Amino acid sequence: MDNTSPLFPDTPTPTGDSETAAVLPPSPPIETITSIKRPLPRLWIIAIGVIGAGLITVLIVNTIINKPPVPISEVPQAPTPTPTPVRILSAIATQSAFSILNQTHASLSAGLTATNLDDPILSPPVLELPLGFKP
Amino acid sequence: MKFLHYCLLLLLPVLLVPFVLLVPLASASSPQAYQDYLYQFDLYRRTYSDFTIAKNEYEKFKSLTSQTTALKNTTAMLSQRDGLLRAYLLLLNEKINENQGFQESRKIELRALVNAEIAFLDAHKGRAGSISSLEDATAMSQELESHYRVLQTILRQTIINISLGDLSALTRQFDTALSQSKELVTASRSTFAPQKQATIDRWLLQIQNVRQLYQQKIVEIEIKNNKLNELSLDGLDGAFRGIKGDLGQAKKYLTDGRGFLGELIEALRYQN
Repeated sequence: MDNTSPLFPDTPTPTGDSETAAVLPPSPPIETITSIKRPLPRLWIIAIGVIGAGLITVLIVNTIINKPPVPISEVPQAPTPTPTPVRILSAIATQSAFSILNQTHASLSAGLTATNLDDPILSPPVLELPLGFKP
Repeated sequence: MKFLHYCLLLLLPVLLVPFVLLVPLASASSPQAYQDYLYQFDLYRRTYSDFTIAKNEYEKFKSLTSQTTALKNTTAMLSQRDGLLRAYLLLLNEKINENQGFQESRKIELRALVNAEIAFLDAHKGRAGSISSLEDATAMSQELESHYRVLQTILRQTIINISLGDLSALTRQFDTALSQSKELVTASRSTFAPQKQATIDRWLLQIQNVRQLYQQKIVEIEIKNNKLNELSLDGLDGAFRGIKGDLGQAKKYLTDGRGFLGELIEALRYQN
């Protein structure tokens, strides 16, 4: 058997010669992946739209939830008013002797506050007396 | 007429200036005495430092030059020491003069004690001029050392007496307020309800009790103060601190009494 004969005699064996290529019938054009321009299916568009809308909704809800609360100025509750006992001034309170007593008391209070029995000015000097010359 | 008016306007400041200048001087005796005391203390510190240096040099070299310097500096220090103690006594004198609690006779008595010490120091300082050797200087120092316990006792007794004078002025005010309260209570006996009247009477008794406790403390202080001259120089400081504590306790009684008086006044102010 002749090993050099073509396996398929009808099919032209590519030899690389330009002459042979010119003889071969033109092969159909090969379509590359990048050049495929098929329109996206409608289902995908809807899905992307739904996801986008979902994301936007989540963002909005998140913003609303995490929004710092507006400080509410709490109006302090007024303490329940207790009835003030009605105090009636005595007959003495209007006398001049009473106001003199008040003045004496105020003067005594001021005197007690002003008096400092431990006046640092008066601490006596401490001196080293012996001269200490060696005989 | 207009001329006279201008003349008066020009003369007014001339007449007022000496008056304005003299008033603070007349009323600021003890602060002035204190400033002088501080100045004398500063001088003393400096002379004492010079004395120490000169003494150490003399003891190291034993030369005539170092001896002369030591003598000069020792004399200056001894003189300044008297000056410092004198300034302190003058400060005490001013404090006695300004004290509102003393009777005039008591002031005279206390001033006499202080002035006797000033006289001693003046005489002592006068002898500094006759120092001609380090032995003389040592002898002069020993004169003060032997008198120092008496001097320190008088200083402390005077300080305590000044505090007692301060308390005495407050006691007068306290007693006035107490007697005024008693008079008001007596006068208003019929105006208050029996229950309130009983409370007021009880409070008055409590105020009088506090006053008595205060008086007992004052007597105790006076006894202790008079006994200070029996103590040694070492025991003096401890006893002095103890008396100061007693003075604080006496003031506390007076403060308590003042508080009770305030409550009594409020009780008298209202009928119910």
